[in-house]
Amino acid sequence: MTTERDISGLLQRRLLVLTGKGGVGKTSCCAALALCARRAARRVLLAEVFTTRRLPALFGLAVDGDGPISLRPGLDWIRITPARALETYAMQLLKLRTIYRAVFEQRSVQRFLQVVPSLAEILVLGHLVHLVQRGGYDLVILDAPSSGPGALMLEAPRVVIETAPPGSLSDGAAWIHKQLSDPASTAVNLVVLLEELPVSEAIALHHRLRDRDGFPLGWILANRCLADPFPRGAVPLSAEECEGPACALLAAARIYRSRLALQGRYFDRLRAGVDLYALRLPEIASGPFGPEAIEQLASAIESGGMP
Amino acid sequence: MSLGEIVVRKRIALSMGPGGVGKTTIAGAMGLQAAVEGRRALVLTIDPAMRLADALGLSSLKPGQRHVLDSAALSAAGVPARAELAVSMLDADRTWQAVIAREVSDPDKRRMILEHPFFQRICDDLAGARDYAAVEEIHHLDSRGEFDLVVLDTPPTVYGVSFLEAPDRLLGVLDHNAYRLLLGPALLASKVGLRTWSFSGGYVIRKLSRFTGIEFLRQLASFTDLFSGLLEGFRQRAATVKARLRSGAAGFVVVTAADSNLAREAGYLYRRLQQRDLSPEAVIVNRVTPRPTPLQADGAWRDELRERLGRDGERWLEALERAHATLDALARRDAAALEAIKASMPRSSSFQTVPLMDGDIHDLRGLERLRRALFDPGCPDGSDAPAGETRRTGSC
Repeated sequence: MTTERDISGLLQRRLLVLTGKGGVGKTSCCAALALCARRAARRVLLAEVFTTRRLPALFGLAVDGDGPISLRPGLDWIRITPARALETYAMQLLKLRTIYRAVFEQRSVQRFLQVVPSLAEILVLGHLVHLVQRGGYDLVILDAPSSGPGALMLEAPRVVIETAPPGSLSDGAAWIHKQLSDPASTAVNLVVLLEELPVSEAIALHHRLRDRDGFPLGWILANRCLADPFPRGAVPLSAEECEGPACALLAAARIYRSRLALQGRYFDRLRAGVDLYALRLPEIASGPFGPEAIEQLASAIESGGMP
Repeated sequence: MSLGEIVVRKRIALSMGPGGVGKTTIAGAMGLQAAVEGRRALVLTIDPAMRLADALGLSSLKPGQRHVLDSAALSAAGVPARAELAVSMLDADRTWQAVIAREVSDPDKRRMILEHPFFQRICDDLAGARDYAAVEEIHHLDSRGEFDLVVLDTPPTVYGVSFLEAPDRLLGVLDHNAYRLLLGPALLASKVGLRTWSFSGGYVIRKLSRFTGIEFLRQLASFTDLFSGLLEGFRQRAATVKARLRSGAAGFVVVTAADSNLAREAGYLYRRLQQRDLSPEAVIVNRVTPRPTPLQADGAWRDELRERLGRDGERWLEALERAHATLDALARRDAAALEAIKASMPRSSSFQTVPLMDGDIHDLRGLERLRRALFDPGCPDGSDAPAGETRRTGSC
């Protein structure tokens, strides 16, 4: 596994998948990477699945439908649901809408579709791969579900190939798996926070996705890192001898530095456990996390993250 | 209702919310508090991830096993407990097997079900089978009355209450009658091929079999056939659990993080619970950065402090002010998020914030610090006082 450090290499892919533990900032990182790609003049599609229109909200847009809509010039967003994907796929297979209605809108068939293992995942991924290969976009970025469900989703095609009898389902799965496992055009990236559980999940996920599933992995994005403003050594003033504002500063420094120490320890553990390029992204504390913060995060990615 | 009252009064408490907000640790801390109150409690995690084990520092906890934290273990971690605490991780496979063993008396039929290829698929989370197993487990625990309180750590929820909707979904999926027309007598008899079908369902089946292959349809038909006698029992137990969760015996707790992007999801979950008559009793906003003590606007103290910081005084002062300003900005952002979360919920809801701890919670001691923050807010670590000041009360 090569550890590439140049963002342009990553942005040359056709499909970037981002996953990681819940709450680590996958969606924000997807948005920031999309802006990086836009700055490199790539036409970008941001895709979310199974979630509640988080991406448009980050860009300051309230959206009702599932898109595709334009978030910025050259940057579109889409929400892929199993129902939407099923309709698209079944329509290709069956050609006629009346047949689609006759078959797929029957209640018993709707029930039946829920028992077909991995069908929802296959449909969603199939729709996604279709969008990647159709050529309307240079880059598709998938805001994937969190670690466990995310891995299950990416593994669904292989499971279907191994278990389903020959038919359009297993053919479709093979086509999807080929796209997902092609290192020239796909990279699966992991987002973490430098904390105990996100780091252990990322290390486990990295082994599962790379060694067991053979997916091409890209970067690790360590989100929300605090910068270290302090000179070397201990603060040259003890808490006993302070008063007033000095006490407030020392108390804040104690909390801040204990977080820095934890952060450093987990970054070391991450690098020991994962042989991917790990980029540290700054905590952006100014104001609520919205369009401005995404721009800042994108700039941080472009400049190689924190020192 | 406060979290403290839920722990004392309820028989079942459910920790719900989006991913990554700390549902598991909140559930664990509720269990500890129950032990402190002298109630026999079980914390059951439905989430297949190992987070409960991680949070408790129990690397050896395996799905399906029950681990008891006895008074020695609890007091070693500084928990003033008056009862033991049991923790367990749901093993969906085992729960399903136990249900089949209890419900099917005919050994041949039992074997046919357990060995059916579809049964393994069910255990591998077919249409929410894991969530359904949780419902069976709640029923089992609740009816045996072994515990005063069962705290459930539920899977991440965005679209509402998926694990409570699981029984309906699963029963719909396994309902033999629903497929009778679709799959038809030919397939249910499992003897005849597709070609002989001459009834209306045959067309649909041909189209569907292009998706899945005919063998899958055969398996589905034979499995729903085997299962048909069991559905009524499933339905009854699910209804009992639902009624129990709607009664005053259960308390739902919505957990969220201080993140304005989660406000909408948390509010949505709250309303979904309400719509289902599962009234959420409390909202916990977890990991809120405490506000550092503000600095005096008058800057005369700076010169003196720079002096006292010695040779590198200027750099130190700048760094100290920067760290303070960052924490202050984070605290203000969290406060704004808290307002957004409050605005997304009904006014009447009971809110509680939990300060961000120094360091993660990955052992019993850490969980005890969280418990104190939640239930003894006057104590150090649980203090909502400005950083740097600690209040002490007699109970700590």
